[in-house]
Amino acid sequence: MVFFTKLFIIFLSAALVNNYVLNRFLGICPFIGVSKNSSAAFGMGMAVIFVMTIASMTAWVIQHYLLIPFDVMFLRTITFILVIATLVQFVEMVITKISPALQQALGIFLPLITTNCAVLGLVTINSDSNLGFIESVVNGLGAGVGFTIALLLMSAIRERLDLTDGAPECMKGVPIAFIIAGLMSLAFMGFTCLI
Amino acid sequence: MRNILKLAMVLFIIAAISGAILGITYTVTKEPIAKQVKLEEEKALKEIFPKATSFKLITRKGNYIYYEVYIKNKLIGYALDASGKGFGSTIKIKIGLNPDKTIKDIKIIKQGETPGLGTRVEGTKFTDQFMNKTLKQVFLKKDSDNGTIDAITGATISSRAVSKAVQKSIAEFLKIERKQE
Amino acid sequence: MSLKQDFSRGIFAENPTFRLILGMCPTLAVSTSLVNAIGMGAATTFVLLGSNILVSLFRKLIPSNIRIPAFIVIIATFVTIVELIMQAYFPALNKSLGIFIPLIVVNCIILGRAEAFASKNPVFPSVLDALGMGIGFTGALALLGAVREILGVGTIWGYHILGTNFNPVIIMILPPGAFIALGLFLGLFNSLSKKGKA
Repeated sequence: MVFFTKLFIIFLSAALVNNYVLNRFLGICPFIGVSKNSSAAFGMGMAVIFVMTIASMTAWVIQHYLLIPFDVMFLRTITFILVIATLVQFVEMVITKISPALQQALGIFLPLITTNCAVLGLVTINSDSNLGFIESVVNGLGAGVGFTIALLLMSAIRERLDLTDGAPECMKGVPIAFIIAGLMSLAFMGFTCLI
Repeated sequence: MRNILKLAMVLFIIAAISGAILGITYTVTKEPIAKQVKLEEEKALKEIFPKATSFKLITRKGNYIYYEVYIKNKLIGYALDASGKGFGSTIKIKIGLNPDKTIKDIKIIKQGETPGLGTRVEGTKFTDQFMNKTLKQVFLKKDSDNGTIDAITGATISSRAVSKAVQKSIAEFLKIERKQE
Repeated sequence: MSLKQDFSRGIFAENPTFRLILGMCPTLAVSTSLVNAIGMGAATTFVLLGSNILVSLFRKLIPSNIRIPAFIVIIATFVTIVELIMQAYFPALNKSLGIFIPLIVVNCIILGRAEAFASKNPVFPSVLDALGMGIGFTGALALLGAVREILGVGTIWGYHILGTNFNPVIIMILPPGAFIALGLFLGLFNSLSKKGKA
């Protein structure tokens, strides 16, 4: 029971309290770039959840069965980025074979994920904080869910914003998106009391 | 097929060169890094116990280690290690105890908290709060009625992690000490 | 395109932060103080310079269909060198930049310059391009870092300048302040560049 409580706290903490986008500044590029409409945001979010969960598993196995036994932890960054790049390619191939519908939905977002710093950030944080296998996976899942929540909220706000003409000319588009992100981040700070 | 082999060869060569360069860099920086870590350790001990002349490493059952701190031959305190999970990293702390087991001071050795927020647990403004406290007092004010520690604004989790790690480490030390006696 | 333009492009016309909106994660995360901002800028410039030189040197040897993985390996190599050097010689800076040092790998500015410039140009212009972009990025970080440090802590480079009566606007060094400050800066640069053209 204690173990499950701990996992739940890890999940909540990754998804809300330490939201990867709004609190840790990871994955800002897709957060600003793919938040213009909700359906794209949803697709991207799902792809990120998927890749983050698998990347957590793979990175954990590689760290504990290759990097640590061979005492080459200094190759961590280079290994992780290659693992993520390969994984994204692999996931893309598998999805194309198994489910063309899913491929249609996620296809264009997958290549973008390689350079999404949230994924590399996640596996580096997992490895820095010495999480166990299951904890890493839960942390990955939580981070992905948190990313999706932030992205969906943002896209909903920006869709509405498009209908108004309130912002000054120079603030339109990305600048106002950052201001909104700031206010969202402020709101998310309220979650700090959760854990 | 041949084309794929050629591509694989090129990638392999690039990876091999990169591996070689990194191997060299690692060998060159290995010693300075180890030295930094040791320096940092000694610096932390010296900062807590500026007048100490020697630190004696004690190993107890279950790989538990701590330092006994001496001026000449007089025992002036103990130094313990503590660590706890913070906001995004493991926070490592060095704790100095007086001979009567109250806290002399604490120092944050290593952390990877949010720059500008959680990183402020390193500041003396936060760590000074632990001075001369007993185990029961080092809770956050918002966590316990007996607590005397103010959390850092915007970094409650990091602050709590430090407080909890300190509690845990001292509790364990007291338990082991009692067994020895 | 003259050499002078190769250099100055990154600083003003195509400033990676304010004009191209690249590399936002480190920009927001480490601009809590001027020291952090300059440290991050320097580390990124070093990686950018190294990767631009190597990519440009080998641009004719790397087949185009595997260029992206090849670039990533080159960039990751330099990032690891920076990581090790930071740990060995700048432990304090390494501590405060934390996870954002390894994350230089996925800074879009670096892969972007390798792909868009270094893979198509000789070494010398690539060096200028890297320096220009690096300075542009560092400058933007420093500007943001200075503003956030002054307002959020009341210091600059660690020195108190606003006197002891100044009550710091803590929100500026918290995450929301980062987003809002950057948003306002982007707006400012938008309106400045419009005026420049008119």
